[in-house]
Amino acid sequence: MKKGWLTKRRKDNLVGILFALPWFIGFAVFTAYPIIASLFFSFTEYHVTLPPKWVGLENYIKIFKDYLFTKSFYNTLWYAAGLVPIGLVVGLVLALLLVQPLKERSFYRGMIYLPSLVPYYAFAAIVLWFFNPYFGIVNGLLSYLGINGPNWTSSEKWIKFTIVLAAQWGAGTTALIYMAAINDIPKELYEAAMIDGANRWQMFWKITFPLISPATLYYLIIATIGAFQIFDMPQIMTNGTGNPANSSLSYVMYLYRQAFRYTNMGLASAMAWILFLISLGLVILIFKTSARWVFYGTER
Amino acid sequence: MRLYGKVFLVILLLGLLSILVAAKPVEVVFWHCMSNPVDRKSIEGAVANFNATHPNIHVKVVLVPGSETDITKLMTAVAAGTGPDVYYLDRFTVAQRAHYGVLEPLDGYLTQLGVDIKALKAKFFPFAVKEATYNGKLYALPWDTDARVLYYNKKLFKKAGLDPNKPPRTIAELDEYAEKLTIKKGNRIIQMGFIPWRGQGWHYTWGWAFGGKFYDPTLKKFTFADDPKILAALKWEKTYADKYGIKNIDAFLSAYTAGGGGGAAPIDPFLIGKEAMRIDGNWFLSQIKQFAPKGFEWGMAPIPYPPYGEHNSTWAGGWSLVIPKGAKHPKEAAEFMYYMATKGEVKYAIDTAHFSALIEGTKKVVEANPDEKLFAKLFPTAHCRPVVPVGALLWDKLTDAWNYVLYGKKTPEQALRDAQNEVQAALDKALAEEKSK
Repeated sequence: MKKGWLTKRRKDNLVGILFALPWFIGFAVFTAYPIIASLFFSFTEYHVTLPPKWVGLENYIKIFKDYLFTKSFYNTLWYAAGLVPIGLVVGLVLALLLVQPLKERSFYRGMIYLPSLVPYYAFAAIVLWFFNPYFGIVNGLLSYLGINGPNWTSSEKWIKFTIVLAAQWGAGTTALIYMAAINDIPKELYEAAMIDGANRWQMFWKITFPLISPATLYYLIIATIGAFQIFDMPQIMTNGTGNPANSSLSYVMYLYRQAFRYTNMGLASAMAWILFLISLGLVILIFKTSARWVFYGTER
Repeated sequence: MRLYGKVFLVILLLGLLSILVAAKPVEVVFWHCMSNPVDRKSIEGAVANFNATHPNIHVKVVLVPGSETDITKLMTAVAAGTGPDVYYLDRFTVAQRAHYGVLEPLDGYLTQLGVDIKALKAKFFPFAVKEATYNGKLYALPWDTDARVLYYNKKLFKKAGLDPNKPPRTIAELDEYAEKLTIKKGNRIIQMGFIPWRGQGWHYTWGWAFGGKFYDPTLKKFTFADDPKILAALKWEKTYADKYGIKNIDAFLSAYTAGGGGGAAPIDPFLIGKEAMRIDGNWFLSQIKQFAPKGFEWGMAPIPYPPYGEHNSTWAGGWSLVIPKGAKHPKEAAEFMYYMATKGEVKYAIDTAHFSALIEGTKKVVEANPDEKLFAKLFPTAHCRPVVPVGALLWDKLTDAWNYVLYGKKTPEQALRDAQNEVQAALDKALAEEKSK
């Protein structure tokens, strides 16, 4: 028994695997299998209750001829182009404010993070009130400044921007990540900079920004993937219609419609794979360029 | 003798066995999504009555999430073989679900139960039977129903110098009244006379009121792009977008109805006297009774129509009961459904004051609520949406076409043509699949 198959090392490995097994099984059954299955279904005509029928690339060809696919893809690009940079600036500015040595700092931190905990449905309902063209607080404040506020939620031109703005309620999460990164920067660097006579602006661009670049990389990847999957806000705010005139219809909203309204599971799977490949491409692009601008602070 | 003895024994055993089986009631699982407490209680009451009078069957009610077109839970359950025996399905999707093999045809089971199907069908309004039938087979038993009419605010009529007892009957009158009832301050609409596409003013509502036809069931071809009457309906709606300004109308609507009209509906402009006329369903009546301020005076009238259009035009929808594929006890399910769609439905009509697809049920509703007579008058000739396997797509494409026109993106001719081509292609594909099966 002493020098059997079960050495200490093997035993440790076995225990480790056993502990991880529930996750492995969960991953295999609920994540890996559906992903692979959806790839198969994307080449079939599939209506759930009838067996799938192989159609080759038909779904993919059909999608690219579909006007609403193009429209929803354009809308999603618009959302991403707004959400990612605006979210970055808002999150970073909040983080910079929240690391200031104030007495009520933890109170402010709590306040900033709190909106991220509001359920989406309740939040979307509040947004609709906020941006109500007649009675909303936004247009109310604008009218004090003598500005005739736009139709935030019912104009084709404004609806996407309204959703991008509203999404900043969730900026607390980004601020939290940046706060942690900023707090990690050694204080000596700022002291040295001060002695050299650098102003705050210079300190931010020469010290803070480069040293939090790993957090920025993380943010860019997560935010880009998230922005391409935008669904809840426009879905709830427009009751799934993508009003007005499909101008708020996001890619995933259209995918959901194909899957669960028309039960075109094959087509919906193909759409999911196209989205996955696009997201993957973008993430690779961000990674590739990151070597040039991400600074890890340690010599490697 | 020994052979006889054996046969006798076998028969005896079989008899005993059948008693044993009969003694244990068959469980029929019934899924529905009527979470409204009044509706839900009535359904549960009807099920309890059925269970009490049918000792050999026990129906178990399960409340599941779902909506008119979203039946995700049912689809996945049927695919996995764990679906219910009876499901509550929006009637307008019966054809689509039947086409894709989600439903069991009912004729066989009902005949086994000794039901005279012809006589049963005659108990329902024609539109409901039409919607429940696909390729000549009955796939659903109709449940409740609804209809659309014109609601108008009598006080606002008086203020504008109009006779409150003379609602508009023709499109020309409607246009004239709408103008008189609209009050603008600059570009801001303070009071809106009428918006054709508001409430239940859907493509179907006006298409039919103008006398148009959307679909030819014998040729299996959509006809809305070729029908001058539907084109006229769309062009007429566009005049409102042009005259009052689509942006001004949208600002007015989004102020009161929040975005797409779903989700959160803060204040109903009709109930606070800011919208003079609107097409809406019979359910709007209960909202008026519940939420309108004291002294609110309103009237109802049939949908206005042009000289060449359809008098007393409306269309009806509603829910139905179906047996999903793979049901464990379809025969017992059919027995339960038959009970529900007749006796249960009368009880439901009385309890909830929902109009019934069953003629007798609707009679009961009108007896209790004489002010709803108008609806009952419209039901016998009401339209139902085209019975096609691409019903949801057709609805969405028509809605899109209407939006393109109202927002000035496409000409009415182009919008209808594009929508028809797309839906026809989808229909042809679905029908071709059926042939190859």
